[in-house]
Amino acid sequence: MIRIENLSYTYKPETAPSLHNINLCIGEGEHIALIGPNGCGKTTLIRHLNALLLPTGGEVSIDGLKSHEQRNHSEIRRKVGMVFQNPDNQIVGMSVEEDVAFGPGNLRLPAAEVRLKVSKALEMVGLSGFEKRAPVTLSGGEKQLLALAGLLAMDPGYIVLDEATSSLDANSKEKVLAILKKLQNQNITVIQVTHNMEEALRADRVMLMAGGQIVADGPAFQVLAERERLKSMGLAPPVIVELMASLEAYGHTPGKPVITVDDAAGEINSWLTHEAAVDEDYAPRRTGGYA
Amino acid sequence: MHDLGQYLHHESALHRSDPRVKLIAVLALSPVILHIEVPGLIMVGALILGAALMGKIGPFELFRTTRPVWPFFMMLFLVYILFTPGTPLAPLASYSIKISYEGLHLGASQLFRFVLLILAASLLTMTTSLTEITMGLEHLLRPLRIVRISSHNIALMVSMALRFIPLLQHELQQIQTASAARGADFRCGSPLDKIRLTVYLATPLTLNIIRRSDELAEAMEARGYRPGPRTYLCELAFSRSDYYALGFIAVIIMFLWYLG
Repeated sequence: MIRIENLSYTYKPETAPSLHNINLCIGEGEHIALIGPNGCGKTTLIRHLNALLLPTGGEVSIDGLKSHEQRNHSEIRRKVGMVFQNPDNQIVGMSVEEDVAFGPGNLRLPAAEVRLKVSKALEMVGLSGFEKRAPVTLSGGEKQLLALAGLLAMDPGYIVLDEATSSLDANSKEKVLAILKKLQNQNITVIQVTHNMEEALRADRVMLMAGGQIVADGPAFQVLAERERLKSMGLAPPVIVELMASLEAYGHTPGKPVITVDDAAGEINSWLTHEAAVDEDYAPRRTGGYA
Repeated sequence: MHDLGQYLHHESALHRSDPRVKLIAVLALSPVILHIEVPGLIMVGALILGAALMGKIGPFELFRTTRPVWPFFMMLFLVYILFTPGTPLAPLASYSIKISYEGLHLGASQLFRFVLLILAASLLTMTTSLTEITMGLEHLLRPLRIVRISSHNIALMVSMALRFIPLLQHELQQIQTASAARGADFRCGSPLDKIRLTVYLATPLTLNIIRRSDELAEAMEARGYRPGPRTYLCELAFSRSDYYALGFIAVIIMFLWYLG
């Protein structure tokens, strides 16, 4: 479990804090989307989860390991893997297998174990057979999968993605998201910083940040349904949320949260069926009247 | 066409041999090439050719790797033949430009030396992957720990520098294209204009390199990097044939050195 208590962080002493009094608890196997306008502190917050930044106030602990204790950093970095936005800037090795081996190599595991972890991780992300390829020959999506494999080789309990899918095409994005879903099913916690509200809608829990604080934290359908708040922060609500809001303007209120295209199609279908039935009820009388 | 440093994968004894043996061979051969005279140089040429054939690399394929440096070689050759004093060549004796026998001999032999150095280095990089070269370097530099220099860190720096070369080339092209789109075309203009435009390239490129290295350092830290020893995917081990190869190289080098 990740526990954050009264976390504050200031980059320079004379400036305003980038994070202010954040309290959080993140459990195992959760899929969390962290959203918010630019400069609200999302990246600063997630860098605390991997001990890349250390709190200037408060405390961050990962499975009981406190990040302000230097001796815990190696274990924290094994437990919390991070994928950054630009895959080119996180690939270290000259071949795919060498890059995946970088993390376990840093843990100084025996070479046989490193090889086993590399092959398992590449298989998980669908890059088996790419072992000897130079990273420069991979596509953007494959590079991001390679970065993910590099983390998986370290057996993390938590995976943090900092806008990692923002530069990918639709196919590659779907591939990465499908792998994340698979990992979540294996009880690995996925924390995803994103500007894409459709992606955020797929998460179990959404945290909305503004001005270095978490201003909303709850199920995706609840946080993302607050259209006015999102718009006031310069964020575009998900298309499905907008669609349902438009339906409400026509007098239809969905009976349950609508978060996927299938949900929306079902809701529209049931509404149209209901409207047609109402029309049928009135039609004979109207027809009679005219007759 | 193959550029310097391009690895060609083949199944051969030379490819399979330990990278340390190949590194030692090239490093030991280099001062010998600079020391010996033409007969020795011809022997070294034959040795390199033999090794190339053993590595399933054709002589022309190997020789093509010298193409990028030929303009430099030509300039060097011209300097030697024009500025080395000595007996002038008979047919040119009456002209103001004097070319001496000594200059011609010195220019040709120096050119031969440099070509051999490039061929030896190319053969190393064509038969050894960058990963193997880095690992070989790391092992060879291990004795430096006596003076508290970490061979692991040096190997990592080398591998990182090699990995970033294609990325930086791509970045440079992007900056050039972006500059051309705004009217600063590097293909046109006088040499002076081109030098002036290079300044505009250098600034964004330097800033991008700094940003990239900063992000890379952060990503490495996030993956648990700490200076010092780490586990490599495969460890190097000398085989019997590697010891034989080392012995052969030692004998050849001593022979060439004394041959002079």
